[in-house]
Amino acid sequence: MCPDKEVLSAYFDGEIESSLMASIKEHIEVCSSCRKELSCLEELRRVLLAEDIPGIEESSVTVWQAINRLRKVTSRERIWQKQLVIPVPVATAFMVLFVSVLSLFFVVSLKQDQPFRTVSKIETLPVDVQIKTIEDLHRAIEGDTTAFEVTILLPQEPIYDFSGKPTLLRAAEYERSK
Amino acid sequence: MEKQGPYPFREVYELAFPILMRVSFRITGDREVAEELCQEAFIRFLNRYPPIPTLDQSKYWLIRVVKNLSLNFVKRKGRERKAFEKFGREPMKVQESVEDCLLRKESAARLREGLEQLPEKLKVVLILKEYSGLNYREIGKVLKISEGNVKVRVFRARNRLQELLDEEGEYVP
Repeated sequence: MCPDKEVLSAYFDGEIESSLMASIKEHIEVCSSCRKELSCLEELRRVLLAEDIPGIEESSVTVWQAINRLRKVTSRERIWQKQLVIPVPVATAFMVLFVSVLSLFFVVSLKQDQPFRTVSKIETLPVDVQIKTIEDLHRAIEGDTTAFEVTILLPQEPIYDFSGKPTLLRAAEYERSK
Repeated sequence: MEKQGPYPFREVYELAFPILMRVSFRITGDREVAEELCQEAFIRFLNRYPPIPTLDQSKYWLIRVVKNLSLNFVKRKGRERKAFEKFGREPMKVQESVEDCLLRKESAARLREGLEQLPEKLKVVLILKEYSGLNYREIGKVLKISEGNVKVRVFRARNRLQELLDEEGEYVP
């Protein structure tokens, strides 16, 4: 019985188990159709290989020179672009350090921005003229053409109204709604 | 030129260049293009990190890269047909002793046209088999497929090529 065409193709390429090799060879010697099949394979290969690329040696030299040129250019101009290899543990350590320093800065800056920081001591400001009402203030501004500083002193102890809200807050709300 | 891996680059180059050139030329059909693609493959090889540890693995890697570059080129340019026509113009001597073989009356041009018409999977395997001097196991390594798969594809490519030529032959007086 003739071997499968696929087997013949592999036999033609010398890719058959050595145990099968001898028996197939024997068969081919007596089988004309298998011989025909093999000669077709040979012909196919012969035609495919008939024309090698002309001047493959020249191409080899051309490409070699081109690669060398490129290598020289890249090694001269791109030293700073060289790949930097950092081992994973080192990279991780750097990342952790970076993140912790960053978070430290963040915390510090947050503390500085805190609007309700505790004041250890209330300084008593020097007061030149005591102005108690808004009308007095108007009068003072109109009367004095030179620049002067106004310090508005808030009551040190909050004063609550009947509903429990600080009176200053109430006043501000009242101003807004007006 | 410095080493890339535990062997000199020159050694890899001399081993792989003729194979890369043939494979790329058979796919693209253009010598200059094949030269450029080979150069590109070697440059990629030199820039590769980490380097490939063995000479054989380097060879397989380079063949795989040049094969992909060539196929991409052909797809991009859509010049496959033109290139093969150009390549196959010269008349071929055909062995007369093969009386019954269909290929006898076919020119090399027709054969290469047939090769061009093959599906990519079959074409690449046959090109590697016929032009790279690699065995089934090595082709399997290049294409990352099994040896058995290579065997089947080589057979199918040859079969399909003969069928294609057979069909075309009917229209030839």
